[in-house]
Amino acid sequence: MNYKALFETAMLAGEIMAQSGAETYRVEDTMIRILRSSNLSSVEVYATTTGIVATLSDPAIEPITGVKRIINRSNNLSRINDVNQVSRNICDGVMSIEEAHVKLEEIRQIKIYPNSIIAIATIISMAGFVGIFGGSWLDCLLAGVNGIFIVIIGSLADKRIGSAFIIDMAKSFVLAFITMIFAKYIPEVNRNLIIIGSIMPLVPGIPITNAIRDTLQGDYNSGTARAVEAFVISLGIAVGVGLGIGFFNFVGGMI
Amino acid sequence: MLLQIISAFIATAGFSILFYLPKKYIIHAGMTGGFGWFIYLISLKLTDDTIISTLTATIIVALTSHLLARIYKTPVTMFLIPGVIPFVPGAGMYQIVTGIVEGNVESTSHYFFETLQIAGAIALGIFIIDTFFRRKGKGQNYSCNAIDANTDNPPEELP
Repeated sequence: MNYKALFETAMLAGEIMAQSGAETYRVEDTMIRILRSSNLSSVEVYATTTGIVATLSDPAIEPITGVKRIINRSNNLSRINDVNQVSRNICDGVMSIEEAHVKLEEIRQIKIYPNSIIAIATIISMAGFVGIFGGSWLDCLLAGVNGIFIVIIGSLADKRIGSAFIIDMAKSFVLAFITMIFAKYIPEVNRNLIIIGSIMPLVPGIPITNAIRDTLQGDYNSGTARAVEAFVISLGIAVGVGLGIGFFNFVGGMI
Repeated sequence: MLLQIISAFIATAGFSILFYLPKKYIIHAGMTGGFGWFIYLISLKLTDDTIISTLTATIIVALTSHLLARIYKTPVTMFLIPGVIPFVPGAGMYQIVTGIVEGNVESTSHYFFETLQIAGAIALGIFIIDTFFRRKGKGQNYSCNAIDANTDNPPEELP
């Protein structure tokens, strides 16, 4: 068996999972399952939110150790699901390591929804969230209009600005400001509901859920890291909304 | 109320696309969100308490997600993350900020603690069901010898 290839496949699987926002225990578990298929005596994996360390060793071979730094993280449930399936296939002996490596490279490249679908989903879910909290049709519609602005800012900023904090702040600033203008000219709308519904797609759902699950699993390192991540994202949104409302109060008389 | 539940379905389904949930599970995720919000509204009507209602609804959402994950053999987060989203206290966050902007300290501190309590209720709900399924989840259909995330048993040492 080519242990080097096996190790690289496991590392790649772990990397994709960690980058896609999987819980830490799932990253470790997947890698351990793949590495264990070598039947070597010593398999160790240590994953955190920001990096992975793994070792494969046995009296018979030179130990293999690797470190992977996880820098970019995004939310991609479909990749987690696909990698999970690959690891199951390796374990069941249905898939060879070489096939798995090719498949994993494929998973890393694939983007299951084009940007246009994502844009439409953003607009629809923003309108939907206003509906959840009991908004009227008009409120939902205006939240959808906010959604269009968010999509435009997102597509402009994503390539130019590296900081997610600044992007979130800019988005929530714009949507708070626009909503205040709406509310000034259309008195029957509920501006609180529109702003609340509009910021929902920005809230850190995955970090919050994973912070809870990691902590319960005993991965306190990752649990705390994710809780801080969730807090920082929330802070960005809060500051943006605050500045947006404040800015409107400052210049609102002129508009 | 029906309108709110339908909105919850749409919002959750839309949200799951933002998280790149595979197409075949979008309906399930939307149903989880809609059902969770239905439970939340019912509970809110009976108890008139946001915290208790959030707790009840997250327990139901987590339970549904775990069952779906068992049925479709997927990671539980596929359904749990979209399902929990409607309960994330975005409203509380907004009220805190408006309080700060308007210089209303009382409202800010009130909503600050309410937001913390809601976050705690969500965490507790997920905790309870996760713990329950960790006990129940023994005997997975995996052939690999690995740390089983769903049991408390350490893995057997290989020869």
